[in-house]
Amino acid sequence: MNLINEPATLLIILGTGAGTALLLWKVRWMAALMSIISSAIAAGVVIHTGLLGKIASNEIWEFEIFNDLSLTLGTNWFSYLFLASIAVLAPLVLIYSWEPMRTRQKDRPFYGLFMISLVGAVGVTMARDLLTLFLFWELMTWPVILLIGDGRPRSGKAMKLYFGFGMLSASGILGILSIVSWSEGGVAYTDAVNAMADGSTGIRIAMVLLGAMAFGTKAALAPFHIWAPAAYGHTEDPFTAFFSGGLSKTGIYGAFLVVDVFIGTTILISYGSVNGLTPIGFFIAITGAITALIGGIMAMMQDDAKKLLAYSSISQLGYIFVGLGVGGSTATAGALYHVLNHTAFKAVLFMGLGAVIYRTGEYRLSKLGGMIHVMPLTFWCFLVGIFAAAAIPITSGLASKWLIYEGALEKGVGILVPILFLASAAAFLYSFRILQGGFMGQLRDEFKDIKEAPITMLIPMIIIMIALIVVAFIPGLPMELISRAMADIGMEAPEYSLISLESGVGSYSGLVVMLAVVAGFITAVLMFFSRPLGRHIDLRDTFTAGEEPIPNMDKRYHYAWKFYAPYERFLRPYFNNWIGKGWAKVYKVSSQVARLHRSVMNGDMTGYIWLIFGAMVLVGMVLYRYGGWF
Amino acid sequence: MTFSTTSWVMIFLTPILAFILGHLFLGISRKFTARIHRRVGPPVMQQFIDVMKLFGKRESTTHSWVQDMGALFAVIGVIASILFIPIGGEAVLSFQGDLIVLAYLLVIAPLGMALGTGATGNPNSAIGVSRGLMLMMAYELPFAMVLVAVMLYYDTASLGDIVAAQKGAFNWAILALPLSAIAADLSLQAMLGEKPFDQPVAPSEIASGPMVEFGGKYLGMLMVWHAMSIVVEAGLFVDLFLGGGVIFPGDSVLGLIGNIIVWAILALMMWLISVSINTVFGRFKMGQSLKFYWGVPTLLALLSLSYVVISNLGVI
Amino acid sequence: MSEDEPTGGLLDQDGRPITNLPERGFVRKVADWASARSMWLLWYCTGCGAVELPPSFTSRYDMERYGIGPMATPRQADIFLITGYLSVKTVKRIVRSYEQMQDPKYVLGHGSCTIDGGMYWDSYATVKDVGLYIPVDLYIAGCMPRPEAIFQTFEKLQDMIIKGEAVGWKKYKDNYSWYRKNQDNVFKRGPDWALEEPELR
Ligand code: SF4
Repeated sequence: MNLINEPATLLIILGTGAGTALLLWKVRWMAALMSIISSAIAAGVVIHTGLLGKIASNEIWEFEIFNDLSLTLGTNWFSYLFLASIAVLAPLVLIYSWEPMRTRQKDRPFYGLFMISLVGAVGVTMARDLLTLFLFWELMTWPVILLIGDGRPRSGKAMKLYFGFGMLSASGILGILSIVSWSEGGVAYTDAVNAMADGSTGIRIAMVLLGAMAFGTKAALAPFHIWAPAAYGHTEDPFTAFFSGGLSKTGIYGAFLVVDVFIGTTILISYGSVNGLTPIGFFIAITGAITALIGGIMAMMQDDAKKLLAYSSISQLGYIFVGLGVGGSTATAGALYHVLNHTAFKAVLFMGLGAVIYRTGEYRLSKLGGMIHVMPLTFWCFLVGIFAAAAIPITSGLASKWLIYEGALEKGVGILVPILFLASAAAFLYSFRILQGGFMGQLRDEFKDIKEAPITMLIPMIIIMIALIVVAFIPGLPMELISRAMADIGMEAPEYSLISLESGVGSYSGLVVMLAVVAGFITAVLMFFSRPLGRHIDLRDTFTAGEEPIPNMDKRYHYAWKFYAPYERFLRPYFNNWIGKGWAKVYKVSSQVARLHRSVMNGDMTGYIWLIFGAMVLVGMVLYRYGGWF
Repeated sequence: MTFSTTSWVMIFLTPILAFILGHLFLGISRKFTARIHRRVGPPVMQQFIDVMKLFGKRESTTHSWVQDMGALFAVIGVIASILFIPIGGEAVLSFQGDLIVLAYLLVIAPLGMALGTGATGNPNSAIGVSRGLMLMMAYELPFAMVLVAVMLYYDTASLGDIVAAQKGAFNWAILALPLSAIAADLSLQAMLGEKPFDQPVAPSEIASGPMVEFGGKYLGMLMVWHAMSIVVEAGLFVDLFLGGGVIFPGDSVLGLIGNIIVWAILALMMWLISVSINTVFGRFKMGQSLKFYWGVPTLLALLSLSYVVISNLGVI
Repeated sequence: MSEDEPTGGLLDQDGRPITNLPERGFVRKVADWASARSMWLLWYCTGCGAVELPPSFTSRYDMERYGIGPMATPRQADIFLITGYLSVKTVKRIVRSYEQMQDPKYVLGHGSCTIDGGMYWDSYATVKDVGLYIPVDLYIAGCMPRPEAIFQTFEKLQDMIIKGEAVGWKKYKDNYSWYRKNQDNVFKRGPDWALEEPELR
């Protein structure tokens, strides 16, 4: 198969879907069908190419748009990893969206916007120069803003936050672009690599900071994370799964691009290293660890389930940054592994929650409860997702975190691992809070009759759930892809076989761990079923110190509000949104600047003329000085 | 990976051993507590009789299938984790998954149990579980530092290798990293759920917390889990700091049995230290235990960790 | 038979329910032995008699020697110890707690008040005979009974359990309508009571 047009094919397929979905957005089922079909075909193409192994790593295709401006596209295994996780997730989320969007008011082209941002995200992973990257980045970012307002209070604020941080991220990319083009005269990735190789320390640091601003914002790295809980919390429910599971990965991709491709290990190490850990790497890793901790602790204090998952997303992405920063084969493999894992489990978590919200219309944990009795299948999927998020060994979640931990241990970074452990303890806390609040406990009377989630919502969840469990047995399977991806960014993958992973300090055999669990299961089942099954009793038949439940009161004994109250009291002062307050200061200053700007741009023609005249003089002077035109 | 005959035998024997030891430990501790109270105390075998009775109840009640699942999960988790703990120097499965895997395996049982208790719909159980998880977060910080210090000191994450590295009389990690050992023992107190950190099951406040709706065989499963988890946790300490109880050469069967006995005695000792603290203390409030754990034990663990990191860098 | 006479179940000549002893296999006998050696108590301490319990489980008498100990909730307990008088209001709580316990379960009436009202025999607010509402396996006479009496009762109960004679739980199931009628005379079960009627297995 000649793959020369591969990237274009993919974009054309998706673009067609996006176009039709946008045009036909009033006929919703058509739009839905078109986008599902086109994204499924695209996913098929992606999987097919990957399975055939026909990723031409070094080939680049140019498509001329205007006479001087051309898009350059290409894929290698490294970008394929991100491309695949986004492109495969998309049709699942689109199928999932069918049912909840069917009944929604037709006030915006949901599928069209979804598809455009999918095209953008796919384009981002395929771009081979910074300008193309920037164009697709913007294509990915802006449609989402129309999906954010969900009509709940404060959703307008979320939209504003997303807008502001979208601008920040865009200007970060523009900054990188200008650095590179200024020093090399081109915008291709190779130019960026050269720019870093030739550049001074100042330029390299600027690159890292701009990269953090551009891509860290998208991946919700602290301190750029404050938009994420607001935005994830207020997007249309079905889209959130893709937003958090898929789109955030482009930020990770960009961060890898900056650190491992543009700058590269050689340059990083030239600034000195301890056990192979570089200062810049340490800086990134510690930022990631703090992000993981902040995300985890904030998540455990949320009552709004979507916000809880949003903070959990921040926390999990923090782990990826730790892997990226620590570097070296093990940690980098862990970070890439976690990209795949996070895509899967965060999607299933948001889907499961979305199903509950779809059926109940309630997103506050203190108002939910007892969903295991009415939505058992959703509960199973959600539970496996939670297990993966908390890295419980019976899902694939452990493998990636294990690699990150081992990578950090190999390099002797003593302080990172305890912080990560604390973050994962926080992960247990928030995991259980959402399970207890949403699914456990007593069922409200008004939710007694709700049904299991519809089949179109269940199927994508079940597919992901099965994937998460199967990979727990064979943690080496994703490593096939990861090792190729690492080879493309000039790194060596850690040793692995299909069933086990090795690092410099230990080993993890998924199959043996799972077999031990199965052995435990058999013993436990024998023990349990040696006696007759328990008699099923009503939920209100609980120990109440002999007291009869108060009759006809629609209040249940459901402990979900301020679940961790003693800790909230203790920790609140330290997590009193000081990052948010800092950003509020930035906002104040910038709005003052904007006010200044507005006082010039006051609609008075003479003022403009003077401005234009002044600018021309200035440009002329600059050109005269540097350009030698006159 | 090939398994020798000994390892196969150990794989089957370990859960049984843990079951017997766990209930024996509990029985001994009840006698021990009674003697501190100047009572006679129940027979040492009392714990076995209790479990027998619970499984022999004519009926037991359940609120939903998730409660059944929770009872199962508790036992599954503890059996899976005991297989990854070296007993008497015999690394049962621990070469297949190191300390980090174990750290996460240990969570299956409590989290699964928490699921089951949450499903009963009794708010007391939710309160108990939330307290247990908060406690976990409190001791996790010093304990993680301890684990990292030990792993960095021996430059391996494999528990079997850590045990092997401590061979010889004065090679125990407790002598090399005494501050870590103290911090670990303090964390052990909360891990075992003994006073002053028994907030999760405060019987007089929240009606025994997670267990509130569990009776009959359901409670029996939880009792088995509790007994075995004592062995796991005390045994983990022995493996980390007391050389895994290896004092005889372990290549003969007799030597292995001797090592297992030493291991069990050392684990019992750790458990009794915890129990004796238990008998003289009242119960902390949640905030107090967080403040406690993020204070002195964290400081000790941090000192020890920085010592290890600095000495690894070759400065000292 | 008149209208008020409850149907179902066996009654003795005093009009009290009785039941036949259940068949026991070997496993059941072992379980009953374990059950006798490990009795977990649920205390219902409304009456003044409860003050005799602390001496019986602390170091002077040490109840734990027999494997007897207090438990927090009815689900976990085997023995329901009713220490003293019951007011009309508390019968409801007694019945609810009793029904939440799991078979086999035993009830001890502790103090004269549980037998015939004791020194409150003429009070309008006191229930005179606990045996009307739940089946009591053994009564401990005395106002109040000393720990020695309590221990004697425990030993007697152990004997009965091992022999398979302590069958109050079965009596309750067999004669539920009889007990239920007596209970309904004292209190009404609310709509959210949510306990199933026990059925014989
Ligand atoms: S029997 Fe005596 S001691 Fe017991 S409750 Fe009645 S009056 Fe009080």
